[in-house]
Amino acid sequence: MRSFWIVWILFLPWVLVAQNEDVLQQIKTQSQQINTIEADFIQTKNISFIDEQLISNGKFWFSRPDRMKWEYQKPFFYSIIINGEDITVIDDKKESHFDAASNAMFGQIKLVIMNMVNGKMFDDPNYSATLKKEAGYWVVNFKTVDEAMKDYINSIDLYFTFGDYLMEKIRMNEASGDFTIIEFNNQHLNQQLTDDVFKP
Amino acid sequence: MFSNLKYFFILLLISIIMQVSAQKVVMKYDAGMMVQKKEMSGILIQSVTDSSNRFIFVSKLGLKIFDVEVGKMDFDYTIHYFSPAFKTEKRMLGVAKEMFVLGFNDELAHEKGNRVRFVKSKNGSCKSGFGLFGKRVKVCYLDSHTTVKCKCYPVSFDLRTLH
Repeated sequence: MRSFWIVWILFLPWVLVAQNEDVLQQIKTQSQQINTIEADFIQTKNISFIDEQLISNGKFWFSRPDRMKWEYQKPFFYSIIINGEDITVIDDKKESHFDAASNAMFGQIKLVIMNMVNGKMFDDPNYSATLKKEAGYWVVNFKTVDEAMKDYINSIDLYFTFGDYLMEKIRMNEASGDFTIIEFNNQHLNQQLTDDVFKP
Repeated sequence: MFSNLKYFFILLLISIIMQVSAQKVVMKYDAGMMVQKKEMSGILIQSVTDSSNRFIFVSKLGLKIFDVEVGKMDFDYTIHYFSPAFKTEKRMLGVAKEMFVLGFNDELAHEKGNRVRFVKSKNGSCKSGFGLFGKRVKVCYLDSHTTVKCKCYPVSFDLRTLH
């Protein structure tokens, strides 16, 4: 009996690593099976200097391979629409157009959001992924490897549900200690989204 | 006994007064800023204490763009953070700082009329003038070499209080 425990303790790290790799693979597979998403979101920005939080909410749409609409509805109206390399920003009533290839900042924003949703972040060499369990979620921590990127985001945590590996929460951790949490509700997966959704 | 209690209550009162006076007042705005045709929009957080105004500008996507603190008395400023995405926008940073020095300090915000502030460069050869005209800010760079040049950069900001 004693030797069983010794063997178990010795092999436990390998068992856990194997289990983690299996979960990561299942999350990745599940993410790749998502063709469309329609969801509500609540964004909470925590700034270390002040006690108050900045809370905003809105709607999110995604359609594989590269269409996305991220629309803040309260307490302000702000919308980012991505159609391939074309990025449209509607700020209140003002519409601006950017090219993801030539605008570094919006290009990076597009890449990060898209890769988070479609599962490509697991293969992105700019991040190293580790897995942990936290409050009913599998949490994948993507630590920023790229030095230039670290100035903006230190790490990104994606929260997946236990049963169906659905991403319900994103936490973006900045180098300054500030962080932003985005929670998704009323998620509808793989439903037909019309082209009108992604029109400015 | 009563003497000790008296001191206790006096100390308690002083600590309450100090806490109240040191409290921060935080205001949040939906903000749009335009400097030299470059536009930025986001959430501006103004934290007011007795000694300073602190301005934190956060993009609507949630990323912090800058965090600047301006002294109320001396107008000196401390940059707590400035996004590397705007590292190349030195003039924009300079203008933004001056906007806050001129536009948001309590004494000035309620003052009618124009106000101009001049800043000399380190070697003293050039000075910049920053002026607040109503709700708009104009920035002049004055070259004090043999030919004096003044170039104006219109700057504007729109604020809507967020509740």
